[in-house]
Amino acid sequence: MPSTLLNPATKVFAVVAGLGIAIGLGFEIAVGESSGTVLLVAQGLVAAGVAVAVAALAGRDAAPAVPADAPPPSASASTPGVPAQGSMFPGLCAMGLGLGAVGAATGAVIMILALVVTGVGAAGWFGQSWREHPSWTPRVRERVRYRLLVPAALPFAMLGLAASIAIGVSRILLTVPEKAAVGVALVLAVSLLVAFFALASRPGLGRSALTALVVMAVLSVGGAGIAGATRGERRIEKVPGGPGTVRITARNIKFDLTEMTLARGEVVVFRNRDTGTFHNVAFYAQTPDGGQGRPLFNGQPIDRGQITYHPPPPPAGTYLFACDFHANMRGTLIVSG
Amino acid sequence: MTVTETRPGGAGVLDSSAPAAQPGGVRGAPDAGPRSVGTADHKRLGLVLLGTSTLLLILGIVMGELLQAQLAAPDTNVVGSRYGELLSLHATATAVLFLGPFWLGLATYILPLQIGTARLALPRLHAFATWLYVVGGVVFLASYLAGTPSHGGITLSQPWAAVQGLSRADRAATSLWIGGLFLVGLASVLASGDLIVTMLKLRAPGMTLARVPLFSWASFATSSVVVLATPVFLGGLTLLYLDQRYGGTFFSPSNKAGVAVWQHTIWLFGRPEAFVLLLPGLGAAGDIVSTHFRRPLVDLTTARAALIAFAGLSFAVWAAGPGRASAAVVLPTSTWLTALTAGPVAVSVLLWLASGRGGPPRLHLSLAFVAGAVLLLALGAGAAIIAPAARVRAGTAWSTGQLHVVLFGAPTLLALGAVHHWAPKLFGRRLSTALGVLQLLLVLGGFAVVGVAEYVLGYRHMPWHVDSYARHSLRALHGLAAAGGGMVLLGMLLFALSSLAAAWRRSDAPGDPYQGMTLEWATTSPPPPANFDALPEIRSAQPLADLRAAQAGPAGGAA
Amino acid sequence: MTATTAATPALPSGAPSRPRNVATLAVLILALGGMMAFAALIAAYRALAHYQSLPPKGVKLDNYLGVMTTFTLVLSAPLVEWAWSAVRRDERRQAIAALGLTIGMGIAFVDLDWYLVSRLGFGVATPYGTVFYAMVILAGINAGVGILFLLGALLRVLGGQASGSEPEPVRVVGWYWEFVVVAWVLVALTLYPIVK
Repeated sequence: MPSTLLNPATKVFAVVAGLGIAIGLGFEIAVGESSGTVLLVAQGLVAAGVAVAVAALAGRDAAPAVPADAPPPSASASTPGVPAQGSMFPGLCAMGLGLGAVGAATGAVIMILALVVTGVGAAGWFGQSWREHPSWTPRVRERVRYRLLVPAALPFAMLGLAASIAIGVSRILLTVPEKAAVGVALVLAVSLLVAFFALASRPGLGRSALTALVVMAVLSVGGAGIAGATRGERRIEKVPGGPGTVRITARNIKFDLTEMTLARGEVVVFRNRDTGTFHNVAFYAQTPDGGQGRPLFNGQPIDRGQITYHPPPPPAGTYLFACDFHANMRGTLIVSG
Repeated sequence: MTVTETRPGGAGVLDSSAPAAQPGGVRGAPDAGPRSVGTADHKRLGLVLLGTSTLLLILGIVMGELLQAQLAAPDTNVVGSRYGELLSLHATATAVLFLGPFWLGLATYILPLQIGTARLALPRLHAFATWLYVVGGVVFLASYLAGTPSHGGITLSQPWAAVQGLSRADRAATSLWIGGLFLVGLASVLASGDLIVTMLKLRAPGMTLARVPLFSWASFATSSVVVLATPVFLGGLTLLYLDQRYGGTFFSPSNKAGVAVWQHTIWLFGRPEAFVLLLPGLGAAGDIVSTHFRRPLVDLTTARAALIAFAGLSFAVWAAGPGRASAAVVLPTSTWLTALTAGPVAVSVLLWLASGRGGPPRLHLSLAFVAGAVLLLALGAGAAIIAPAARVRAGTAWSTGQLHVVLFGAPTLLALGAVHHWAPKLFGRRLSTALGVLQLLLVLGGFAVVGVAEYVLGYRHMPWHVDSYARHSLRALHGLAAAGGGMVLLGMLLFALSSLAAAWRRSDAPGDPYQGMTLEWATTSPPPPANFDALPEIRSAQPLADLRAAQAGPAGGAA
Repeated sequence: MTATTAATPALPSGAPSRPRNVATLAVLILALGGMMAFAALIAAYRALAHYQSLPPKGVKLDNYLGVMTTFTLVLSAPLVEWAWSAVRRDERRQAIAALGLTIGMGIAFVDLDWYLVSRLGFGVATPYGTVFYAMVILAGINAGVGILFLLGALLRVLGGQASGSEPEPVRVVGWYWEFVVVAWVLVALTLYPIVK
């Protein structure tokens, strides 16, 4: 087998690159549909980049020379190297990204949980490959333990745990009715008291029992927190109405008002009931044909809860109000003098 | 240099008479069960991909059957208002979640064996991709439980309609649908990248690229297309997500640019990938033919070039003007450039047939699966020739037939044939021949029946992707298509059960049951954790044939 | 080199457990593939530009912010190359400084990207808005992932797991970061009509 300057894989990618660029340019001349041209030319350029990378890094593809008088091929010429070592962390990372997809569909709380799971998976993955490195000796391990884990990682872990519990519990308390929230808080407090009393009175409690207890607690608080977050908060704030305040709510990608009357100097209290979907309230001038003109005020978008806007007072007249994110969410704004 | 010991009594090269003992004395297929969690062994990961994708295929075919039942009995209300949703689930589960990952799984298992390495280049990345595919599949299915994902999906050549007015649950379901597909796409890109690097960097000494077997080459070419084309699908999904979740309007009917971008990025999941579902099958068939005809293909270089040409031409599907692709009569696109992909397929088939000139083959069921795939391809080619003469209209059931016969039927038959061929390596046992014959008859017959019924429906101007029609004279044809789908479902269930039984039972296959020529046959069935105890010296593309020749006489060893 | 006692004559290993440049080649191939995701969005933008002038009437982009964001990221490109060069020369302190600075620039970019999004003044409700948000958000996420990789490389250098004899961890991350930079530059050139 003659040795070659470029290995066959490089030639493959070079051919694919050439085809992509040629077809792309031909397509641009013949049809002129720009998105197809961009994709084809990009594919050609990327394939050319891969060809260069393969040429530089894949090495030569020369077969060892076999002299004419060489003995017959050996049945045992080499070994195939060592098999791969497994790890559970890639699976955990994948699970985290799966949760991320769920979070992208439901809301921020599951997204945070997804980030935590992915982060733990990624850190574990990195840590395992770190520990497999030849430089990882018992002495290094002890140094890392006393210099990093105990003074830094442990407090952060505790902080994270405390934050998770606080967020989880707060989600539960914000979801259930106001009176039930008091009951839930009391039950939780008593449970904690009993649990810690039991722990303190049994110093010989096994490690596995302790772990099981902690896992159960974290899972139940976390699960209830997720359920609460998915269900959404109950209405809590009692916004004072009266003169000086105009209230508007977005729900199911709709405003509850089609016409808003605003006196000069009044504030706008905007509530977004589409948890996880961004909305805002913006004011626009009206074009003569009733269309949307130049922007006058663009309120800060929120994806839940409520916000109070202090729009600069436009002159008295008729305008449009709209959500910048959803074309169908609009209405008439009447500013009185 | 790393020096390791060889195990006495290990997996001996050419020791085909009896399986060698593995450490511990127990041999069994590397199962895809709970022990696979945390593994980075390519064999287990391959089986996880094969098992999960087969499960999803069966689910997809069940959905297809429900759709056909609705069409066969339009007065009844089999699927209610969920026709469009089930159509999307059927197409996605069968094409995106089955065929692509199935080939990926087979390549994950077989490619390292064929190139003589103990592992993948980045085994943990591959494990991550494998589980990402499983998780993505679960998220995708969960979207149908959470609500009603916005109707349509990747099967429609026009973008989804605007989603204003969807309930919160349905909007969440639609986002889950997109998220699940995004994860599956990302998984396929990562795993494909790893396969490319594995083939480029981890080949055994002497295993030059020109000596790499055809299936590995086909997997390499497919992986290259996936790495270059699937990110485009991911970009399209990002736009779709903003549309569906945050009220974006890119794919709204009012945006004229949306149609072209939809067809380039999302329709049939970024179309080059849809094309290359056949590509690994061409490689697998090349290996099957050369193994059972006991000689290399007549021209390996041309066979490899055909695979690469097919991969390169698959990108030409992007060269379709706006709206042109939606008028698909021949496969997903009707440009003359993509019609050129028929050339490499024809060249491959001719090379297989030419191998028959040297004498009769060893009769093995996998050859019959290859022949079945060729028959389906011929049926598709014949239909494509007749279509213009019969004045088939665009957007009719004719395209459904062509999709089922060429895009899905032929590759599925090749996939089943490949599993039958490599079953000793995958499961440690051969699959039952009797059940295999039944599978072949059911799956080949089923696809042929579906295809012919849909072609005729197309000639009679039955539109595709509709759940009701006025002409009762077409009922019998829809019933026939449903029956064909039922045959395919039955065949696939038999295949799944047969594979499970083989994996479950004790391994008994010899290391080299076919007197094979490539490296995967130089080890036990199934292979040990490191795949080989020792690798033979590689002096050609058929190292095992060289060894046999050397053992038979002094003049062995083809260069 | 590792060696174990051989029961039979030892054989040369066909493949070392850590072949050189495997991760580098993988990250190059995957990053180049990732470019196609951005190409898809640029293609979408170009398709839109076929039917209307972009940016649309009424949209006034802050070119100063766009240019500063781009400069910030482009400046980080030589920094990561400096880190790679320093690691190869076993200049540990320099490598740490260069990686730290790259991370700092990366965080500044993500911050600017976020600020840019928050000041846009238009939402995703128009096709232009949809593709604009898709591009800048994807670029931001891409940079976020790159920063995590840079942190990993920094830890490797700090822990002595990346050095002159083993520089690949920094090279791998360096290529990924270059991908982040190039992807953003393409996005910026598309969105900010410096050359029209």
